[in-house]
Amino acid sequence: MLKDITLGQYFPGNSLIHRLDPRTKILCIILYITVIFCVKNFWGYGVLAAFTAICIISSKIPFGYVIKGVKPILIFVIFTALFNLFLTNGRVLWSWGFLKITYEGVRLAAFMVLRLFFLVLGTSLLTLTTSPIALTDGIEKLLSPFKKIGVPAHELAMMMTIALRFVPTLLEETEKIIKAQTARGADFESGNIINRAKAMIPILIPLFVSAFRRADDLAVAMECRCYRGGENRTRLKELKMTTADIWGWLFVTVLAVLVFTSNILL
Amino acid sequence: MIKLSDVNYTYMSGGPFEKAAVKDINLELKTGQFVGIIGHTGSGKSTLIQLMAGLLKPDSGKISIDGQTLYGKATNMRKLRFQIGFVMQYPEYQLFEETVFQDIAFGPKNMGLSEEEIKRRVHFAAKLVGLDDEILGKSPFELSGGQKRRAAIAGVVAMEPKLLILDEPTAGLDPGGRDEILCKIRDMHRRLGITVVLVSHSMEDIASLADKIVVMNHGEIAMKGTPDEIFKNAARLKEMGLAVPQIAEVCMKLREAGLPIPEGIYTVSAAKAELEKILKAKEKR
Amino acid sequence: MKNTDTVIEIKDLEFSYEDSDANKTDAVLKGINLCVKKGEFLAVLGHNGSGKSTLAKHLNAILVPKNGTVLVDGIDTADENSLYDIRQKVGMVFQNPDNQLVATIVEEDVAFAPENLGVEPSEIRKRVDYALDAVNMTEYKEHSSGMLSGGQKQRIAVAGVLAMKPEVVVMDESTAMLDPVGRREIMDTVKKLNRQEKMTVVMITHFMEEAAQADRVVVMDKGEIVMEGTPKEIFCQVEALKKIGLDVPQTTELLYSLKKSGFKLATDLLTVEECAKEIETVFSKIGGALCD
Repeated sequence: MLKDITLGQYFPGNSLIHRLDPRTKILCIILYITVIFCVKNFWGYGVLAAFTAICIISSKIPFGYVIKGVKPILIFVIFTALFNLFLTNGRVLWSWGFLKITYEGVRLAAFMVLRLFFLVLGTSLLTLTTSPIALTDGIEKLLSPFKKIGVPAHELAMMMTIALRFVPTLLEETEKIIKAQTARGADFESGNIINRAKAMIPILIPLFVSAFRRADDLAVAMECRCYRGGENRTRLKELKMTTADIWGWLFVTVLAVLVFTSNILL
Repeated sequence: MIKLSDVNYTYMSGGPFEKAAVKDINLELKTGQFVGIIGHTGSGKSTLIQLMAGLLKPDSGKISIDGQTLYGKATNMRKLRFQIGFVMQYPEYQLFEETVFQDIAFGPKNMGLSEEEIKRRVHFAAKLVGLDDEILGKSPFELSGGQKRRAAIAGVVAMEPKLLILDEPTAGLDPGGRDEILCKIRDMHRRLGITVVLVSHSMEDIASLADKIVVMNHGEIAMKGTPDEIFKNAARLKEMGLAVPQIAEVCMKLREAGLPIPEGIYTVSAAKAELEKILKAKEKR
Repeated sequence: MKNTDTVIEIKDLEFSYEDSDANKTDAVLKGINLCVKKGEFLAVLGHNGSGKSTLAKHLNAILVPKNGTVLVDGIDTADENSLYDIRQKVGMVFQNPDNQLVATIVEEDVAFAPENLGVEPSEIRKRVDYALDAVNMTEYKEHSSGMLSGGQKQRIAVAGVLAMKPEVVVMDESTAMLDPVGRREIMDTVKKLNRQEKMTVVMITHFMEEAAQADRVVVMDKGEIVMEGTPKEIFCQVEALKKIGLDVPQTTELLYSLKKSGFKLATDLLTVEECAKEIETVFSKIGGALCD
């Protein structure tokens, strides 16, 4: 269910990882993802696993909580694995009718599963240790050099902040409206695709009306709190690179170097 | 009419969506009763009414309406829900059609009724909640707050349910709007003879309308009985963080001071009558 | 000359909403004259559509008068150059707690206004800590607002306004969507701000129990101020209040109806204790012992 998603949720804390500058974390995660897709052998994954484990441990977030982030995409992972397992050509290990499993297939499937697994762990760790505001601040700062070529960095960041803030509210609202229309005998389950799409109207219209009303209210409330765009705005938590960030950088660079050397040497 | 035996319901724990669970609910409501449900936020009262309305499936236990079991193997839940009207909190958020008429007709249409019957029901329901015919042609989004609320209630009433459940139908309304809605609800209950379940935070409203009260606390039924029986126990209600009608408190204080006011007085008119009685008795002597 | 005891001064305020069809120009506010004194707790009572929320929106220049003037600390709200000064001086808390929080994390939301005002980060920190402490929400500062109750969310909204260091806090029906517990939380918070922090509070409401706790009550009907006085002066006018679609406390109503049927008792009493005491004394005066 939608409710189980830990991806995008913040887990308050004061660990080393929490305190890293969001810009460091965003850039590190980009490098981390690049590394994930460059790993060519299991030694590399070993290094990656060790690195990820160290990060999770130092974030002081319960291991199980981070792993939970994988749950919503489990079906996707299994599907990808099976797809690779059965549809890769190569040395046949086992076959039954048209189904065959190859050595290459096993290898590829394992790689895909590991890649997705580490991808979700890494990004979950980013959102769990970085408050939404810090994250959007980081993005705003990273994008600000591109303002000159017309990238609306502040506006994009503000939109993300508000979107993150309103996702739970609107999910709850949707649930309420579905219940109200169900009670009025709305039928969401039977009929062909056109009928089902039509059945969504009693949910979508109230949802839009409500979202517009909320947006209106929020705009007035923001104006009352003296909002006037990104000009001259200060921050409660100014982004500051510290020595911890330098260590963070070094750490990820070491990971990248290790993985690339293992690719070449092994 | 509706019977709940050993009903349990737990929400998925954790996460921001966690809501109150209910445990071991045993409750039987008779046809034509007006039942008030009170309890503070998180006491499980809104879970309870959603279970009654067949919008949540109990984890264990059985709920039946006129002998039909909710979520039973042989039960068509959609058809069974036609018999239960559920007015959610801030029901105006469910309005979506182009005109008020079409919106009120949404329920009856889903029931598969004939054009003529739908028309009859829409007009009937609109009249019951006090909406004029000229309003029926307007867009529901043009109406005033109070009118929207009544249009939404009409949309449920038009299904002519045997059981009408209302979750805080007066929330956010001013005194005038509140009295109007409550008056219409009382009217409906009397004229249609249906069973009404009303959830409210206002003890005064519950005191003036209900003939049976259920008090929820920590997911369990803490008390149930007639208003007299419930408001007698003011101390226990206060313990649960609930208010008592002001007049009941005044009477309690007067009893403590020695005035012979009987228990179970909780409305202005009843208190006035009692006090006058006491005075007359005094004058005679 | 500027009156130093007055924070907001409203003179002959008239307002009507622009309507698409030109012939429908119903005046929403018809000549309001009102002064808000420094440090007072003023309640504006009225039913929906009485114009009370429109009046509130004039206090921090969300709306500007069609005719007449609104002065905040001597500054005319129609002066566009002083817009942000006015909004900083008059903080506004709205009805729906879900629609006024901007950021997900509590302290980051409270910091929103000072951030907009360009306040130094160290000073923002101080203000946020102060504001959260003032509404008793310090322990939730790193929580996500989605997990909080309605009353708690509304207290965060109050803190978000306090962080601007305003002179007046306007509560525009901020309790209308809350349950009794949440309403009590907000009333306690507001009273504490008024008494301890000497904050000027304007409370727009249709709950008479809330208005009863103010220093002064203004009753609005059809865009006009129809009554003004202390809560006791206002609530003993039972008939007049009922006529304009407002309530009186049940205690007052009981006293009033007893008086109407010939008892001699005071009707300007609001609390349960006062009411019981009054009935008791009056009854004990009417000859003989109370019980047999």
